[in-house]
This record gives sequence, structure tokens and C-alpha cells, in this order.
Amino acid sequence: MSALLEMKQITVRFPGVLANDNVDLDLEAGEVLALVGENGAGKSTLIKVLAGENVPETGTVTVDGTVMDTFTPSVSESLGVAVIHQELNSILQLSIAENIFVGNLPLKHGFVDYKKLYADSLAIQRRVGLGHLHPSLKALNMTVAERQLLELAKVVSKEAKIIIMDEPTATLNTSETEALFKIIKDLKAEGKGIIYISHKLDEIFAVCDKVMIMRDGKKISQEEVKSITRDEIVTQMVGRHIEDMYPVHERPIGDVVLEVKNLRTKLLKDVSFKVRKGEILALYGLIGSGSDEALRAIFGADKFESAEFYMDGEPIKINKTYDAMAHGIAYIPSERKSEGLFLQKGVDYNVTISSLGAFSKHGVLDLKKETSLVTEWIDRFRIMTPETDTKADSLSGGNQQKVVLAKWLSTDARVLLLHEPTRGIDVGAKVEIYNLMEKFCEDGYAVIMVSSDMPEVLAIADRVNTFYEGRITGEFTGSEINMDNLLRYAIGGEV
Amino acid sequence: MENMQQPNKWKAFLQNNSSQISLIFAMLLLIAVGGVTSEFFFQWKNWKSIMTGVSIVGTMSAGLTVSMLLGGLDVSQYAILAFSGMMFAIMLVWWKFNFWLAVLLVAVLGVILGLINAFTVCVMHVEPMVATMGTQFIARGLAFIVTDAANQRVGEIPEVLFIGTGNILGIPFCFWVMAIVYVLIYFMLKYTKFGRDCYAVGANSRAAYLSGINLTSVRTRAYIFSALLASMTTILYVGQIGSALVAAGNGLDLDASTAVILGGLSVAGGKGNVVGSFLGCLFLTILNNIFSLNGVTQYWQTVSKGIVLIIAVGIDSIRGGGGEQY
Ligand SMILES: Nc1ncnc2c1ncn2[C@@H]1O[C@H](COP(=O)(O)OP(=O)(O)OP(=O)(O)O)[C@@H](O)[C@H]1O
Ligand SMILES: [Mg+2]
Repeated sequence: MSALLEMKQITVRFPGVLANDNVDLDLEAGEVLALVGENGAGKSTLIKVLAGENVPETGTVTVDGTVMDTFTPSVSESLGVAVIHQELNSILQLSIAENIFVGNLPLKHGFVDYKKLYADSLAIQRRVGLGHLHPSLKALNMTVAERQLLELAKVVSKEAKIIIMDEPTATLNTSETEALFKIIKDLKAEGKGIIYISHKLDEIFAVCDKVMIMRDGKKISQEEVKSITRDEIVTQMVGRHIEDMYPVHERPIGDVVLEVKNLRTKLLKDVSFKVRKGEILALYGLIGSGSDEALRAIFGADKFESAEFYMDGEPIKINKTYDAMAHGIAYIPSERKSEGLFLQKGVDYNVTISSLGAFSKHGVLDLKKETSLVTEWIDRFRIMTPETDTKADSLSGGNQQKVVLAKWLSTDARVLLLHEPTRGIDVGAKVEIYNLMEKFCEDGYAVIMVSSDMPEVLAIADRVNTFYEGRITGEFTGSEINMDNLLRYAIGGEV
Repeated sequence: MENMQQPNKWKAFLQNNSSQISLIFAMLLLIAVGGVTSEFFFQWKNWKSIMTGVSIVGTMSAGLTVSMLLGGLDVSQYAILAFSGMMFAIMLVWWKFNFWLAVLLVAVLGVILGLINAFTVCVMHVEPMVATMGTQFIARGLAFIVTDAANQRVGEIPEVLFIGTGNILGIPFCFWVMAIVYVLIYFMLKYTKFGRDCYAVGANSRAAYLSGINLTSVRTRAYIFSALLASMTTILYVGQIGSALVAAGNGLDLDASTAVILGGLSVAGGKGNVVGSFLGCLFLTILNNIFSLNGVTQYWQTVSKGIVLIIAVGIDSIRGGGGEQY
């Protein structure tokens, strides 16, 4: 049987970076190939060649016997390649149905047949776990995780031979990920070839057949998933051994730092919770449970109906983000592209925009000091960037995330609100981030986090509040923090 | 990292400043045309008149750069110039105010008009261009009303005379004023938090808000800047003409914006700098100068300005503007 896809000796160069260096990739029909590597290793670059978005300097791509001679998205699509990109790109002003069928709307007498459109859309939505939403809902009004599932719906609706998924689960929680795996298995049974990129290595053992490891733009190795261990993958990826994935330990927990009382939004019904000095509190819930809304409210990111906030027991007012910031609260958004970054600005600009006071004297910025502060963060997080002033836009997804983290960790915040802090971050850098969180807490500060990454929550949270339909359904500490409890109380509790 | 290579600094510089650099080349070409078509062009006297001319549009554009960085046009500047010019003359001639007091009050007037713009944009959430259009009509109307549509001579006030005709080191005083304004604004945009915030708000206002930036405060200050510089420019203008004209700048409302856009500032906001704005102003002024030297009518000058504007905006939108679109 000839391969469904053959990529040979692909080389891609960007200003200052050799992103792909003579890379080969083969994929058979009915096979799921995992593509792993550190942030900036060149994974997205490689699949963007296949998607017709990058033009390789050298190399050939053959899809099902046809050589790809021009590299444009439409050629790639006509060869039967469909992509779920790392960055969500649904059209926010369009509805779910329109996003799925854009360019291919069912017509009746020359007008859009909305009845059929909505029926078709709903059928696909059910498949990907979006059945609870009306097809006319605008993408704008969906959460990040829902938009991720929408991307999946768009791909499922196309008759593609090769499906590429670039970090599809970065914002999905356990049960949504399970649903995705089921779809992957269906697609596989239909004889499609799938390329699966993820930094959550457990997933590779759950759905993939082969794993290809990249480092510094090169292909390092390719193995059967059956014959490799997690540790071996990590070691090959980062070029060193990682001892402790979750270096977060017991530490003394002090008085309450921040207390939220009777927080009420459209969704949240009088929610109250608090976080203590030195504590990592996780708010855990499924899509639409309100855990993320609660987090955003503390920072004044969205409007809420009413709430009381107390800092060290004193009542404080938070209406706007800068109120929260003045009280030492920092929020790291999950949607880095639209909420966290200024894509056309440099890494340095992005890192320091919220902490300009740290290097200004009488209101005048000391640019030399800025550069040295930024360089420190670049080294600390190993942010892969050719220059300190390289545009954020041209960094790899994980490196962009590191920039957002550096931006907030360089402020003098006392309470960190983390929304999917390790989204798209490679294993090595994750450890670094956990280390920083640990250090932050040891200094007597506090962290509240919302994460869909269950192992992460289990390993690093000191206390977990579960959310369901706008209410807190449970509180867990110590050994009560286990998968069973969290999942059970995230779907209401008394099951 | 192994696969990182030394990027070419020069290449990056050229890429980041491409609009300014192409403008410089266009300007050199223009100067060559000027030299060929008129022997008067290269005389020092002509360059002094170019310097005097550029100082009006230039000073205003410096302020406009700040407000346009946030995204959206500000079309109220020339009307503010006309109205505050009339008030300046009235204060000096009718009310016999001290010169410096009049300058101060004109500045206050500018701040008030800027606050109106800011209020309409921030509190009433009106598009900047429409909001400033409102202020434009109000100020234009008032300019006519305060003197019953009569121009007002400012006569022989020594300070005003010096502003209009004085030289320092052989260079017109107005030009010095403009140069100082540019240096200050260049410094402000590069070395202050306010400058950084302007770029952030223009590039991605959502991310700016989530970075803890007070959008209303930044916008208010930017509109005040723009209006304040327009009202201060009136003093240069009245000085040069010797009178306050009710119709000052009528029909030129988009001149400064054209220059700023020509200088590479994105209409969507978040991208551009004050050096570009200066080059844009200089380019337009030289173009007008060449037309005048060759006896081309005002009407053709207007037509050519339109062509230049379309080309500049077209290039901006082909480049994808500066704002981040989702
Ligand atoms: N459009 C671009 N312009 C310039 N450099 C780019 C561009 N796209 C990618 N790069 C660079 O190429 C390298 C590889 O990036 P790529 O996005 O392929 O990484 P990745 O393996 O997908 O990483 P991640 O896990 O963080 O998503 C990075 O150093 C990145 O900065
Ligand atoms: Mg990537």
C-alpha cells in the first residue's frame, strides 16, 4: 500500500529561524500520527506546509499519489487536507451554522435555506458535543472551548482524506477530550489519516499509533507508540531528563487574602469563595459552568451584576481591570491572541506593557533596563525569539503563551488569576511555570486558577471548588482532590 | 537555540519603516522635479517659505498623530484652529488682554474642545470620525458667530509680529516651535507610559483593557493633545497672516490627516510614528510649493491632494493596516 501522505526533505526558513530542516513525514490511511516537540520545534510550520500556508524552500509533498506543485490553502484543500489550527479562527460575527458551512451554504430559489442549514449544522454539532447550542448562535458568544469544538465541526463537515489537528485539546477538559477521541476513532475507522499535535503526552498513548518527535526544526525520531514510553518521548523532545513534572509541594497556608462574596452574573448565582496566602485554589467546571466567568469577574474583565470583594479582610471595589490591578491582582487570559497579546508589537513591548513602572523614573522609561528585564524573562522561560523586539505574531503558539505569562509575572501582583496557564506549553516549560507558581505561593502570595487540564489540577491545586450551572457544588482539599470527585461534582454532584 | 540565526538588523529596520523610507524616496524625486521645473525652487527664500508653511500643518499633525494612533480620524482640528484664532484676536484686540494671558486662554479653549471630543467618543461611544465632525461643525459655526463673520486684524502686537516673521539662526521662528513640538511628542510616545498605552489601545483595545490600561483616560488625554495643539497652532497661523480669518483652514480639514496617513500611520490605529507624520507634512508642503511656483491653480492642488490621499490609504490597507482584526 502506498502512503496516503509523503513529505520529503522539507525545509522552511523565516527571518532569523530555520524552522524546518530537511524534515520527512509519512502517513498511512487509517493511521493517527502524533507530532511532538518543544515550543518552537517546528510542528506548526511543518503542517502549514501541508495546509498550503507555508511555501517550503526545498522538499516535496505527495498526497495520495498527487504531487503538490503549488502551495496555497485552496490547492491543499482540493487534495483533501483539512486543518484544525492551533489558533482558533472561526469568524466571530457569523453563527455556528454559517461558520461550519461558510462558502457552501445550502440554497433554495437562490436564497439561503436556513431550515436545512440549521438541521445539517445541528447534526454535526451533536457529533462534536455542541448539540446544546442553537446553530444561529454567533461564534462571538461562545467560550474558547466551544470555539475549539466548532473548529472540529468545520473539519468533520468536510470530506477530507487527511485531517490535521494542531493542539485540539489545549482548552478542552477531560470529558470533552473523550468526545474528541471518539470522533478521532470514527475518522480513523473511515480510513482517514490524522496528524495529531499535542503537548499533553497522555493523549498520545490514548489515540495515536505512531509518534514523530521534532527538535530545533529537525526530525529526531519516529516510533510505534506501543514501543516507547512517556519518559523516552520527553527525553527526546527536550534533550534532557525531567525528574518531577509537578514540582509543587505542601507549604504553609496563611490567612485569607482575597474573598469573593455573592458574585452574581447572568450565569453565576451568588457564588462565594476565598483564597489564602500561599494557596493555589482551582475552580473546576465544564463548559458553561461559570468557573471561568468567576475568574474574569475578579479582574473586572467582564461586567457582573453584583459582588463584594475583600482583600485582607478590607472591602475593596473592583469595576475595571485597573481597579483590580491597583489591588495587586493579575489575570492571565486563556485567549492569548485576542486578549493577551499585541501581535504586531515586539516581544519586549508585550512583556512590559503592564509593568512599565518597574523601569521608569519620574515617568520616563529606561529602555536599556527594559531590554535587560525582557532578556531575563526570555532566558527564564526559554522563549524562542530571534530578537527581543521580534513581533509576537511570528512566535510559535507556546512561545506566545510564555510571553503572556512573563507579562503578568513581571508585575508586582499578590494574587494571580490564571486562566489555562499552560495552554500549548511544552513539558519542559510547564515545569518552569509550576516552579514559578510554587515560588510565588511560598512568598505568601495566592493563585486562583481555572484549568481544563485535569492532571494539572490534581497535581498542583491545594484546594478545588467545583462549579456546575453557575453554582459551587463542592470543595475539596488534600486526598479528596481526585478525578472521581471533580468529575462527579462538575456534573452536579449527587450522582 | 540551535536553529536561531543572526537576523539582518538592517533588513528589519527597512521593513519596519518601509512607508517612511518610500516617502523619503518619493520626496527626493519631488525635490528633483521642483528643481527642474523652477529655478526659484532651490533658493533659500523658497525653503524659508516651505518651512513657514510646513510649521502650521506640521504642528497640528504632531497632535493628530497621538489621537489617530488610537484608531479613527480626528477631523476637528482645522475648525478648532479657526475658532480659537478668532478668540485669540478678540482677546488681544477687543478685550486688550495681555499676550501671554491670551495664549493661556486659547490653550484652555483647546483643552475644552478636546474634552468634548473625548466625551463623545468615550462616554457616548460615537465613532471618532463622526464625533470630531460634530465638534468641527460647532467650532466652525462659532468662528463665524463671534465676530459676525468678520476677519479680525491683530495689528502691530510685537509678540505676534515676531511669531509670524521672526527668525532664529536664520530659520523661521514657527519652524522652531514645530520642531520642539515634534521632539517632545517623539519623546512622549517612545519614553512614557502614556505613549506605550496609545499604541496598545490602537492595536488591540480589548487586550489593552485586559492589560490594566484605562481606555477612557488614554483616549481623553489623546483627544486633548490633538485639540490643544490645534488651538496652539492658531497662534502661529495668526502670526503669519497678521489676522484671524473666520474661514481659516476651511476645506483643509483633512490635510493633516492626509499627511499623517502618508507618513505610515495606520487608519485602524496602533501603528505609525511622529517622524512619519513630519515627513508626510513636508511632502505635501513641497508638493504644494512646486505647484504654486509653476502656477498650477488651487483646484488642481486639491485634486492632487485627493490622489495622494487615496494612494496613501490604499497602500495602508494593502499592507493590512496596523489594527489586529478578528
Ligand atoms: N510567520 C512566521 N514568521 C517568522 N517566524 C516564524 C513564523 N512562524 C513560525 N516562526 C518561527 O518558526 C519556529 C517554529 O515555529 P512553529 O510555530 O512551527 O513551532 P511549534 O513547534 O508549532 O511550537 P508550539 O508548540 O509552541 O506551537 C519558531 O521559532 C517561530 O518563531
Ligand atoms: Mg504550534
